Amino acid sequence: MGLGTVFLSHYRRHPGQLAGLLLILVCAAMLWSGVRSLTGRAEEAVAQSRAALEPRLVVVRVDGRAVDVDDFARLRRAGLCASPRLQVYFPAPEAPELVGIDPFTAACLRQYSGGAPLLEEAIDELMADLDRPLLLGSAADLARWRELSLPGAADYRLEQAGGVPPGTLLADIAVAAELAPAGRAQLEILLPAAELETRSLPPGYRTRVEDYGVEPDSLVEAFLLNLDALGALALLVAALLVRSIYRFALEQRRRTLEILVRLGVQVSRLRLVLATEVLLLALVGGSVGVWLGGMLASAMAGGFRWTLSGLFSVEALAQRPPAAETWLGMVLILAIVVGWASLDLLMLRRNGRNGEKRAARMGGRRRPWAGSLVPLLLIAVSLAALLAAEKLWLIFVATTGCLAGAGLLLPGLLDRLLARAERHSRRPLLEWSCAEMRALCRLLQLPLVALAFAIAAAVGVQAMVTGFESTFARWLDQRLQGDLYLDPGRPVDPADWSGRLRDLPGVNTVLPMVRGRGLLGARSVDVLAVDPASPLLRDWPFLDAVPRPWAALSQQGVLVNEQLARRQSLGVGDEIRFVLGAQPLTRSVIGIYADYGRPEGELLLPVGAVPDALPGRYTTFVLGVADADSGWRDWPAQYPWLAGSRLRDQAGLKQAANTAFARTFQMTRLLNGLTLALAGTALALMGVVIFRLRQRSYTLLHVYGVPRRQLRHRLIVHSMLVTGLQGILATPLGIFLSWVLVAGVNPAAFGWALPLYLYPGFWLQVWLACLLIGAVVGALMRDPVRLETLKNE
Amino acid sequence: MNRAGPILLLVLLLAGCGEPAGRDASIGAMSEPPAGFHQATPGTTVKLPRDLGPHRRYRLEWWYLTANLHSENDESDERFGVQWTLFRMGVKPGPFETNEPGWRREEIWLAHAALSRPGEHRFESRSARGGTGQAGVKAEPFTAWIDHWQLGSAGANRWALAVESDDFAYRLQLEPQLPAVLHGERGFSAKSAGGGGSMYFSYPLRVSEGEVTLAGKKFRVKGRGWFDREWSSQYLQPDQQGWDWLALHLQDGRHLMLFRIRGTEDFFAGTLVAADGSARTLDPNEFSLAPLAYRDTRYGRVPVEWRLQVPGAGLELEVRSWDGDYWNPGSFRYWEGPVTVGGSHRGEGYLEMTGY
Repeated sequence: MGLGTVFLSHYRRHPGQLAGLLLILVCAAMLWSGVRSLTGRAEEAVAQSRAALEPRLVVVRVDGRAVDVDDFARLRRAGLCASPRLQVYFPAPEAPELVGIDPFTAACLRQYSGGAPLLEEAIDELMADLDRPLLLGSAADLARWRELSLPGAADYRLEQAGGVPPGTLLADIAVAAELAPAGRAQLEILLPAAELETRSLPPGYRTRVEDYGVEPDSLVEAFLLNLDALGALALLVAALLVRSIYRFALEQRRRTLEILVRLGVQVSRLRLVLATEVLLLALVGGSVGVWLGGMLASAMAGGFRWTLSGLFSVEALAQRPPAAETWLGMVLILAIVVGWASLDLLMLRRNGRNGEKRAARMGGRRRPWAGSLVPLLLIAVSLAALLAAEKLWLIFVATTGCLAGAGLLLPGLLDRLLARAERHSRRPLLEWSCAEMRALCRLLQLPLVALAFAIAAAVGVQAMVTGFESTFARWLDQRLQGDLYLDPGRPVDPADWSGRLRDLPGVNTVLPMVRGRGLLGARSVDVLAVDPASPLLRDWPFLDAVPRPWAALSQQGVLVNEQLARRQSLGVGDEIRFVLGAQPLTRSVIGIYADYGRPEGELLLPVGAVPDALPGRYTTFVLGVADADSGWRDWPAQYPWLAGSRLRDQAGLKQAANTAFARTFQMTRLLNGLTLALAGTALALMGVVIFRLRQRSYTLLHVYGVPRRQLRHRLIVHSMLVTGLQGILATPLGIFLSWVLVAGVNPAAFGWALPLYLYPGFWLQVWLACLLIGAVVGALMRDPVRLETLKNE
Repeated sequence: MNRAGPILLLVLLLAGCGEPAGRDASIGAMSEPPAGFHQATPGTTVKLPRDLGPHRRYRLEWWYLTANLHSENDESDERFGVQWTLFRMGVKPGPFETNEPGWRREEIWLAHAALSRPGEHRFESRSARGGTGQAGVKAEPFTAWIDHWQLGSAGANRWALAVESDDFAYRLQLEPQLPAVLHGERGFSAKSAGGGGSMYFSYPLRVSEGEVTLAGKKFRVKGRGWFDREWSSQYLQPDQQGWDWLALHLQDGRHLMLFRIRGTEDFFAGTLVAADGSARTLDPNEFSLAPLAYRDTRYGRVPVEWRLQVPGAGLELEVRSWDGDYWNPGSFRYWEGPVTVGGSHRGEGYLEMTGY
């Protein structure tokens, strides 16, 4: 019989252990690799969009006429690396925008040549298929294009291509020009700003900034780190669980190994075989987990992609199966986890008797407060670090420190609670119950800590997400005072359009909102300009402001959003200097408004203070109407000047905003739920095994006359009490976590903070879940009385 | 099948320095059937200046200039080789519906510019769609351009070439030697024994003055060059792999253009231009052209030394490439490098090799 067979025989006798180990490893690998695959892809996308960043200019004619193909040729012949872009908008709701580019000159723009291989491939394809008109885009956009059924559109081949931004189709500029009559076309000639360092523009042209090329904020990295942290939590929980299984099996296996040593097997050989076992487990768990993780990632990819593009403007998330490196990395991580878990076994003989003594001590009584000192110290240091930390990773490390400290304290706390109950209990059976539960707590220490972590994460994340949702909903209510929201679909003159909109039937208020980009120091910020006198702004929520901020704004000053205030440490009364186009301005901050939904910093100014040449100037309108249900949906068809514009009512806008955030947090919730399920399942599995160990104690009581049925009930109650108490004790940890999330992680990841709300209703649900886990564990035992356990007595 | 030719060639020519495509694929595009385009045939004649302009009924044509230059700087005696080529590739056979500028997909222009020194070769390419005015050719006054690169008439019997890239630049004053040298049968240059070929004429050139800029240093230059004008839709037969082409300028004022097309049976053709500008098509029996030595280069072994005999003209020449590697990279790679001529007469010129 080979050594391997002896090792295998342990798991043959305890198949539950093997199944538990594999299940935990697979789940952990699935969560970790799934999240890593998404965040890794997103990091690549961020790197790509960063590579594609360059300050970009739009060339315009000094005489104000629109540029055309002659202007393009003139600029090219002046030696400028200019490239045209013809955007065609079609007058149908949700119709994708057609972007025509010139593949022969596209490489001038880093956007198309800066290391986005998918997009570069698409451009090569456009060039190769010049004689067979081709539209490239995502499956969804191509489907919407087909629905448009434009005349002659059937002649164009449609092909799915990665790297094309959502909502757009990419085509050769000649193809776009052929389709332009069916929609509204806008030609732009783009130029990297660096070109003008070596050559000058021919007379008759000037440029305006099309894109400042500022790096996407570190916010997106923070967001990804957030997810990685959740993945790491799953791994931590798994590590604890795996270690608990090994520690549990330690005594059983130590005996086997001792016998093998006595039979002459070298210790080094035993270690080798044990290491092989560790690797095999990691290999199987890692492989299956990575495979499942790939499926998890593709299931979550939609929402994730939306979050990235909607919240952080990061596009082009590549779809691909998990790479060999991911798999190898996962197996290595799991090998380390399992290796750590089986350290006691690996160290066999080295510690010799000491190891056994230590093991005995673990089961025995400790000095009351000695064991608490280290965790308390850990908590104190971590808490101090947490309060001082501003970097997100430091927040995570400090939070992990707090969690670990609390996790180490929790079983002791539970033990002491039960000891106190034991001392005070008058009835012998109750005293026995308390002692029995203390034994359970000791034996199930690690899985209980894992469960505590999972509970804390669930409570914390739920408070953050629900808190956000209610805050966001209230904020939207206050912010969306208009009835209709109009996007003209093209740059328009706000004064001219305001007049025309006012003449529409039933419209009583019109608020133009001019958006653009400005520079605050070296940072690019959004600029929003409104008419401060508009009644539609009256209920805007301010976090801090001078009295009557709207009246003050019409005189002087600037309002900033929370994101900008946080990032630039701005308070009411601070002077800021910013540049709008070519115009430098200095104004003092007169208010800070909440602006949930995106991470960009924003300046709010009266519309008169914003120059016409504001980079990226674009106007939308908010309308107050007498009857929001009247026929506004037909306006674009009735009024030709409204063709191509998009009207939405308040309800539609709210729904869109809420859907957006539901998607953003969906992933967080999903990961959290899965971690909780993992911890619960593992605890249930181990509980069953542990109870089997305790069968002797129950059987003895049965022999002394306690009825079988009562013992069974008692067992279930023990189990429920331990898990229930654990749930209650873990709740403060969850509250602490939610505080970290809303006050620390959120400002770092999204730029805004949220008030801390507590949701006792949800705690109750969690506690019930804990009780349920306990009940299931107890119920799985069926009959705690087995007379054969007394065989050796 | 109809579209494979031009588009394949286009992609190959445009593909920068990527993975080299197979030799068969790259040169194969030159032997695709005309597919709706006109084909150059014997009997087609050359009419000037009209034929300096583009031929939109044909699929592929080029304006091809090479020059051997010597610096006039007192302190140095530098030699340079210059190549500038503008290609026009028809996506659709002309004539086109309108000549108004617009975004169209009827033809593609691309240009190759190279500057060579012994042991050194620099190359840059540009491309453009037709129809925008970004690139084009006008017959009168002759102008060929893409972006700010331009070759064109600069007064009576004078041309000017201006090329500027990140890496190098040159501005040359050229004097084409009239009349044009019509190759083959009054301009129809056969490329195989079984028919097929291109319309082909040339101007030997004198580079009266010029300036070459390399690594920030400027050199005043003079020299001699050769301008080719060629158009057709199918240049090669399916069994032909590529060509070796030479344009030589001898010290006695004569010029020689010769090529060998490698196929199942090699095909030879040539033209001898006398010092007074009169040209004579050489019958394949009148000369012999054979490789003498090869060089290992990054794309394999290529013949870099040739023995050229034209007994009837008293020429017994040894043509030798400059040291170095003169590949113009890309999938449709070709060798375009200066040569020196020794033997019975001294001289200089250019060697072009494709299909290796």
